[in-house]
Amino acid sequence: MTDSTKLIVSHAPFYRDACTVMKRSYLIMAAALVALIPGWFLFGAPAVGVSALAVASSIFWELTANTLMKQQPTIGDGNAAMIGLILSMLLPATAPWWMVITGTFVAIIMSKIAFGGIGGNPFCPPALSAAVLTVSWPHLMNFNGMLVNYDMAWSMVDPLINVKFFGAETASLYPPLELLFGHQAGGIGAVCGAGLILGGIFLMIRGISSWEICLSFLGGVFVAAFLFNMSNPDLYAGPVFHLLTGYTLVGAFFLATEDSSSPVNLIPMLIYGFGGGMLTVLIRNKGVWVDGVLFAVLLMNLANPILDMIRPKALGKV
Amino acid sequence: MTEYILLAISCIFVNNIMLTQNLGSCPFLGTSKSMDTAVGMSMAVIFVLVMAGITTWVVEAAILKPMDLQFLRTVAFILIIASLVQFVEMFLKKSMPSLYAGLGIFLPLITTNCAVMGVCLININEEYTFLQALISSFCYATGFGLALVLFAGVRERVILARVPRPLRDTSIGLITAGFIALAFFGFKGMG
Repeated sequence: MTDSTKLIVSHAPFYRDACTVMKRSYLIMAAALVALIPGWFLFGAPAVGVSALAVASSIFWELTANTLMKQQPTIGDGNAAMIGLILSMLLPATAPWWMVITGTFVAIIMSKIAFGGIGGNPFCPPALSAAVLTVSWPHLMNFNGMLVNYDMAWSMVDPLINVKFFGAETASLYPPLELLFGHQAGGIGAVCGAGLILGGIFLMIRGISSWEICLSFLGGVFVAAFLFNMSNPDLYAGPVFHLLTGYTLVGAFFLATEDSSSPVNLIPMLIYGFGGGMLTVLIRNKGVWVDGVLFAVLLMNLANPILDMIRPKALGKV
Repeated sequence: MTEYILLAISCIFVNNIMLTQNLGSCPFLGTSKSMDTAVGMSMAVIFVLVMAGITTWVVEAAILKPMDLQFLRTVAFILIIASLVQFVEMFLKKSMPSLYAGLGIFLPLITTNCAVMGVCLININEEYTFLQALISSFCYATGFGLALVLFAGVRERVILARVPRPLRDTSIGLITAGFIALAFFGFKGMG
């Protein structure tokens, strides 16, 4: 690298572990596959195509950037592939190819390479990229588009759209057990709740996703949805529905826990996760967006440097 | 009461003066390199904006409108804002010299901060009552301060990252500001 910086101060997290970037990336990808494979089975070949294109184009963008900047190629650490795979979890199976490639461009070049590569990005790349796509092409990031292409044994209307525009009683169309096994319209890797929970537990046990953030995020969603549901059960769906639909589980296990954009100490982690969960339900119930997870994660990423100022007292300091 | 709370939420988050209406971007980029100056700038803007909002509303209602002198609005408002900034500057120079030095040129530049003038004109154009004008001035300023402090927090970290050379400093600052505005899109439709 043609950089005159002599002393390099790296970003949080500063955990000391034998785990390398490569190992982390592959473990996260393994956990993501647990949720993605049921999605591939449900939505068929187009879904596999979206995932494959996302991974391939991510690696392509990273390699292009490395070549242009005359750096050692960094694709070997698997981080680019991981970002592509997580982005593909958020996309509908009907996403056109150019949208996938634009999405990975935003995720790799604009939100990772532009900020100096791994560890420098202040925002979670897949969440940022999916938010850009949602704002740019709302009609293509709309899961009701799947209605035309798939004829399943269950309702293929996006549960969140149903609840948002037709009242909370439509939530009874989606029994929790069906949602858990992916019987809903949604992102390729976001529909199968059971797979996401299994993958998430695996990541938490391996210590890759911090359990504090995951659980407090889910707790925030639960509490906020419960309060809204209490205030007006006809208008707002219950907490279990909000936990199992949309991007909630992907957000909790894969997006909010992104290394360089999440806090490192206990209290900031709890506030970060809980705030993200609350904002998710607030945006879903009050804002114009159908799903609030992406914006909630970005807003908490934004608050992360401020939250990280809450530090434990240094040892020996009076 | 609900009306005022909604006005406050709308001014701070939904119609954030910097991130949604794009007013006041020079101090936003200029004073966000360290948290201390960002906090100082936010406080200065809150003070100036609340005072300016009240004064301009009173001047409009008591002098300009009854005498049919609305064509003098811009000149009158500039005069009021400039004298308020002069006051803040003298106060800071005496009481907090370090902050005064940190803010540098941006302190007198609040005079030409389009956010201050913009909010005063929004108050008149929306035909707010005195209380509404007070709340809107305070909340727009708070929203500006919030955006500035959050941006400074992110920027302090980005300065430490190994950003590619062509993108250093202002370029990456502008990219970050764009992403922050994207995050604030999430509040759309509330309030």
